[in-house]
Amino acid sequence: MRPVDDLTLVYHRPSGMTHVVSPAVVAILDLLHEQTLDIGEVCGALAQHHDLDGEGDDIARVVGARLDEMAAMDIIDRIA
Amino acid sequence: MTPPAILHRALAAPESMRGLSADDWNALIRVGRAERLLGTVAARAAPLWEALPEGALTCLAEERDLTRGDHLAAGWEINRAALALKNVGCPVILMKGSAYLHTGLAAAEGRRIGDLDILVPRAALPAVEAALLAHGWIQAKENAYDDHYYRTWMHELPPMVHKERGGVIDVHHTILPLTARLKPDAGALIESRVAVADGLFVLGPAEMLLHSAAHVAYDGEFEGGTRNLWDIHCLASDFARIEGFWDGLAAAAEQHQLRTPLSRALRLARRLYGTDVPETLAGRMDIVDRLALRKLHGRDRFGHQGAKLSDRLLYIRGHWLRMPPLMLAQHLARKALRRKAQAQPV
Amino acid sequence: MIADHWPSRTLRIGPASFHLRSPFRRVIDEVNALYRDYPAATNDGIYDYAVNAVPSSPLRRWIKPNLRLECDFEPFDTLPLPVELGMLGLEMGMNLQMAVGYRRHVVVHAASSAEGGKAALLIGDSGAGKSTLSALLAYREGWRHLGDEFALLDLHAPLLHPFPRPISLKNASISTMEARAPTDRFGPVLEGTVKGTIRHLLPPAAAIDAMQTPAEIALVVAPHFRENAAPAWRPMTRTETYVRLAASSTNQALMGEAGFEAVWRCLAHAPAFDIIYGSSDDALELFETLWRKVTA
Repeated sequence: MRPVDDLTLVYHRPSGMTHVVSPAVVAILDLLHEQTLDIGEVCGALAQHHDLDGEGDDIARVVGARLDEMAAMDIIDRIA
Repeated sequence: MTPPAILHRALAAPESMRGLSADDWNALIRVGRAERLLGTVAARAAPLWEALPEGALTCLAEERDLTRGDHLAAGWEINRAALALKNVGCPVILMKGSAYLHTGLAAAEGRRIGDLDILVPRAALPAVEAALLAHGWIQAKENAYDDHYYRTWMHELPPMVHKERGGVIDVHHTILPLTARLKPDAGALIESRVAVADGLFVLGPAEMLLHSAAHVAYDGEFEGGTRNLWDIHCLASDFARIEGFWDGLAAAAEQHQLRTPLSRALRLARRLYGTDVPETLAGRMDIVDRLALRKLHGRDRFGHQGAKLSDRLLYIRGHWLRMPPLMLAQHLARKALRRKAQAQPV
Repeated sequence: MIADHWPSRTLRIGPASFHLRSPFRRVIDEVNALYRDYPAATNDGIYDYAVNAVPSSPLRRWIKPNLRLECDFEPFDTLPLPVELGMLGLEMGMNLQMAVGYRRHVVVHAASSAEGGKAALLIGDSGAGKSTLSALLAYREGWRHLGDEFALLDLHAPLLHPFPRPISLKNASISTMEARAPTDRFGPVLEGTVKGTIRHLLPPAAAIDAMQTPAEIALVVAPHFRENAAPAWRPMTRTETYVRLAASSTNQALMGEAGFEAVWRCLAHAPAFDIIYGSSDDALELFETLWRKVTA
């Protein structure tokens, strides 16, 4: 991962592909590094680490959208 | 020594590369690239790297890097296909380069790998096609004749390409076209499977070698024969260590009606690369072997294959083996008409 | 079949070497004239890529001669070319080898020039003006031409390696340069190519002599020529620069992590600007202003 401007370049070793991603995606990638979590766990961990307050539903909606993008990029796999 | 013989010897006896002149190297590099085997030469040259001239090392290192790129891409295509087909409920059997790579066989070392070839039961084809379409693959051929040709006569779905990555997957349900005179037992091929990583399978050792042998004999004009025969050499050398392998191979060849192509492939591999083959299985050289050997030695030192009459005869033979005569005539006519349309402006 | 006795020429350009061959003597004669300043042999007699211009059929050697390319790396069939454009065909063949087979550096479709030990990379679509700007710099005091077609990015350090082929001038830029470079550095005028009229400009001999010496990358510029436009510039974000560099590279995506790191190193090391101008004088002035700004 290499930060540029307010975005981050991610080189994905298994595929050899590079993606330009937002800070939220970087935070999720950090969480999912070498472990599997469900969406609730991702939201909980993000809220805790980044001191997010606000509606749980809001966070879940944003995280859900980012996870969909990440699955489409093939940098995470949906296993169930 | 013909230019291709320099390549054959470099593969079979890498030490021979120590003594090559600049002209020999230039010929080896051209012929090696033309046969898509220079990456394999580079892998074979690893132990004597320090002893080779600088100009040769530059080209070999470059080819090694090309091959690494191929293997990275092929590994990822295997990974993505495994994910896409995980819930289809049928065994997915990797074939050719991808199988050698995923199993870690010597045949994969330095080998260029292009399309991903998989074998599935014929009854599962619609489900496999649907799963691939749902995971980003699309039909690569837009031409209706091609589509019809593949579905009706070939042993595979029309090739599909991934719309993001551009990787091509060929889905087979047997190892020879349905039009071919010989009918391998597709069910038994699938039964022979061996589990490997990621929930995938490869063919059993005998069947894997038979598949490669079928390619040597059935690819028109012995096209790519130098490389197919190197695969045969590597597989035979690896599998010969398995107790009872040759007897199992002979039995499987009978079962799949592939005894003749197997013997020919083993004879030719022995001739080119010195493969250790039981005499009973190899049999005797015939006229087709001689035509094939002329073709296998036919490239000049710039890597180009002259169009000789003997090659023409092999071309017609390759197609003859795959198609009934009337269909062959129609197919060749269509190919000839289309060849002009395929050239691109500079 | 390619015959041993056909006229041929070995050619070293920067880190790459080529062996060109054709039965049509005039094609190789033209190569020898245009590439007269380039080394004609490699250190050990082994060359990297063979590029042959062969008759498109055996008859076509003698009757209405035309030719087609046969190279080490041939991703597609090409239409036959008339013999008058044979040299252009060989150049296209060399480009093809670099674009498809070359893996020693990241190959970027870009021009590059150096002053002192530092280099500027000129990126942009064909026709945007990078070739003309690089030709202008090639014949400007103090600048060393590195290449107008491909820039070669080192895999370990922020360096550009020269690949100083003759500059391929197109249409209006031909007369621009005819006014600025010595007559004997130009090749023949080639009309009727798919890109219009083409004329090659041989870089100064000093640039060819120094073609084994890399330069440190200091500036990335995307030039845009628009008739009568007032000169203007804007900084490019690093994200934009990354995307443009990656998109104009022929091999970066195939080189795995080393390719990624090389492009990243370039971004991290050199600021990038988009510039627009309406005349050659404005182009040079604007470019050199930016250059002084980043190298001061």
